[in-house]
Amino acid sequence: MVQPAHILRKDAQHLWPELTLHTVLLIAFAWVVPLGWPPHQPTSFLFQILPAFLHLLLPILWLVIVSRLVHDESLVGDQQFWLTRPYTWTSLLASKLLFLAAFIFLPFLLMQCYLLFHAGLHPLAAIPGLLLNLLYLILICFLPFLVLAAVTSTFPRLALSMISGLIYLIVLALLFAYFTSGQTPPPQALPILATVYAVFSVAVLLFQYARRRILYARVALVALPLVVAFLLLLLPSDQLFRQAYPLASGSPQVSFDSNPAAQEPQRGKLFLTNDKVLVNLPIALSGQPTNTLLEGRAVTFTIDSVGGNSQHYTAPWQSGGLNERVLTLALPEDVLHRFGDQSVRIHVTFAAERLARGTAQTVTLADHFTAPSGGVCFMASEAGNAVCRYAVKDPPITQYMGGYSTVPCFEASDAPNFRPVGSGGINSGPELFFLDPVVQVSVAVSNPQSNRQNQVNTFLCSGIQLSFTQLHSEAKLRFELDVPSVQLSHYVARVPQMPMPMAPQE
Amino acid sequence: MNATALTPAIQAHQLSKGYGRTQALAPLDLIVPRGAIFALVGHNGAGKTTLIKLLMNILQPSSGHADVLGESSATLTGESFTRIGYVSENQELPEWMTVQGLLDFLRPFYPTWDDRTLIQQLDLPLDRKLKHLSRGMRMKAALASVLAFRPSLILMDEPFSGLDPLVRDELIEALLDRMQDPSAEALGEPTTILISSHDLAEIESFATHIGFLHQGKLLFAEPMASLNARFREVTVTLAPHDATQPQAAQTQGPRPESWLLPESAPSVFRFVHIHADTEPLEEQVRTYLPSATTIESEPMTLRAIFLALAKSGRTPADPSGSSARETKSRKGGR
Repeated sequence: MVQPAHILRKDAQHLWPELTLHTVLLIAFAWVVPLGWPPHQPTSFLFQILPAFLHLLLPILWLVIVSRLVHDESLVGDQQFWLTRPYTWTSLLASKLLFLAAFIFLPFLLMQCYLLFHAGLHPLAAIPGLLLNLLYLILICFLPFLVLAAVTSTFPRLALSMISGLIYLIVLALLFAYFTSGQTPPPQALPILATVYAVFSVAVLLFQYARRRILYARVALVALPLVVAFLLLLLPSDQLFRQAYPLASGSPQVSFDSNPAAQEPQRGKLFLTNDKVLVNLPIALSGQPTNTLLEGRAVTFTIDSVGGNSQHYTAPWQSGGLNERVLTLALPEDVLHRFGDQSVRIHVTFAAERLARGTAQTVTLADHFTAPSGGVCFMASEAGNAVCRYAVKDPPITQYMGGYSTVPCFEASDAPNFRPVGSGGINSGPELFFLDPVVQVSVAVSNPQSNRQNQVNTFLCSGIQLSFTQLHSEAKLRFELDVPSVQLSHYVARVPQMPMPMAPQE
Repeated sequence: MNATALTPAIQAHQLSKGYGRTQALAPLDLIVPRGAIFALVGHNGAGKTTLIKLLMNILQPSSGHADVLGESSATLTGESFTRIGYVSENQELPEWMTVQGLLDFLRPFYPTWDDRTLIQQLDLPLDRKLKHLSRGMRMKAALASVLAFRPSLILMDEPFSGLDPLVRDELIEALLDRMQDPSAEALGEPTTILISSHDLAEIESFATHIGFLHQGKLLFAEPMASLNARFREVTVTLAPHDATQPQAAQTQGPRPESWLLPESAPSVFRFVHIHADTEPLEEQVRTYLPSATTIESEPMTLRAIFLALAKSGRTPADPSGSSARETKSRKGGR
């Protein structure tokens, strides 16, 4: 332990200007970012762009610090002082990691705790979430920085490698997207690929520190995205989907709704999205348990012609699929034309998540109030809504319902007798790493009857009661739906034809 | 005498290094005995730095292997460098450190660290940053950082290059003091120094062994005393009446292979003898030059020896007298 601590002390002495700048940036971040939180609206342009600027500047400074730290005992080259000194590679690597933990990660965590505290949230309760966020940050940001610094000798070379690497990844991603158009990876893909990436990157880092074989390490780094892409291509997608979403037995049951009223309009141009046409198959769900709802996650299907010419099409797994009472299937335009107006047999397999509604919790709105799952909320009266703050991540999917005022709150004299009823929802976003740990969620209601012709203003005011209901994942299910004979053209989504404007008469 | 004293400080067998098609160092065998001051000489680009870096495990060999202080050079790392010191003109030092900072930083790495006398002896400016030091001072600081831990083996790559004579003498003096350190001798592990240079004059005064690298090939490696004993510059005075005769008429039989760079004037014949310690000089001269009256044999400086070798293209250790070029062509033909 003596040697890592000794090298750590040396690095701290050397990099004190960078560490001072880092501290200044963290303080600036903790000061500036809350100025942009709702309901604040930064008046000065400087304060409008500063948060974004700091979000960019902080990772750049981290890159500089990692570069300076690793390149102080550069692993590339044969003239370095440390190569012929009694350093052990384990001590050297340990000292660098300790440095990052002590002078980067810890202050960063403290800054995030301060922001949570400043937002009225409890930092200690959010520690597991903050540590998970830090892990994402290390994997996505610091691990590539460290690995690239280990195979370069100077900051310009590191920066150039970063840029080249990004371009390489973008090109690879575009090629991958081109060859797997519209395909959705199975749910296990992300953990598998993240593990491959992390293990591979850590292995290259350890190998480079232990052996200093630059060429091998660089080749391995170039190969890594290719390996990940090939793995993604080779994953048994269908099998993994079926494994993650077991076949639903019993209720609910899915059937095709053959009611002609559910067919799409037959006029208008084809509605294309990503060069694909959408087929909206109406379905009926029966026997669904009360207080549950189904969220579509992915869908795959086959189309076979019925009768004479034998045509077949198998779609890859694609995202979404289920939307209330409609199964949406995307297929290439040429496939649609191939089947034409003939009758086809469609077999749909779709994966869905059954969400169960929890107990409703009624909250009376006030200047400050709390929402389920630790939300700290306040009224943003001018905007006519409320804002809830959560620590580190979005709350579970939440539906809420309650009254509203049709006039701004300061004009609403009939409070608390808000008659109309509106509803809204909070969708849980994906968990990604972020620098600002305070998640802001707007709580606003809308009138279900409100439409383009008859717009109804909805304002949330103090005294209104909102009923929050959270939804929790109950089960992942797979459904099979067989439609023996159907005409695709009846269910293809089209752009409604607008009446032609009359030409002015001269 | 213990076991460590018996094993050479450095022992290389068919050690080579190539970069693609470029052969930086041809396969070589080398033995550096313990306690020796081994001077590795050769022109710039001869392969001296490559050889030293291979021995220090800074570079990996293309073939062959070497043992350094009884340990394979390929495994030298960490702990090994508490016994081995390395100083190079091109070494990247932590420029931001002061001299004192450098010594303080290094101290905990070595159990045998002692820099008290060195700081005084080398007159080091402790509070100056390394980047602000002159080349000579930097080299002094680098040497101090090596001598302070009393290594058993010191490898120095062109340490005196571009230094003024005063600093050069100071460094040599510090090195020689280290060689005479009684504590090292008491431990039965005399200090060995391998020093590379292309300046022959500076190492002649203190080297005990010498190796000559030329275009990536080790032409020879032997004790200095042996080299000095073998090489002689011979001047033969010929009888006056023969001076009017053409030279060819004055010689009899073939010229011995061990004579290099023969020069003849009307009354004088000069050459360099490369085996003067083993071959009967006077007998050879009388046979080849019957009209010889006086024979003068002078010891040669290292510089003169290398100039003679470079001009003749011969290796002094080659008893057959075949030229270095011939040796090269033979190896290339395998």
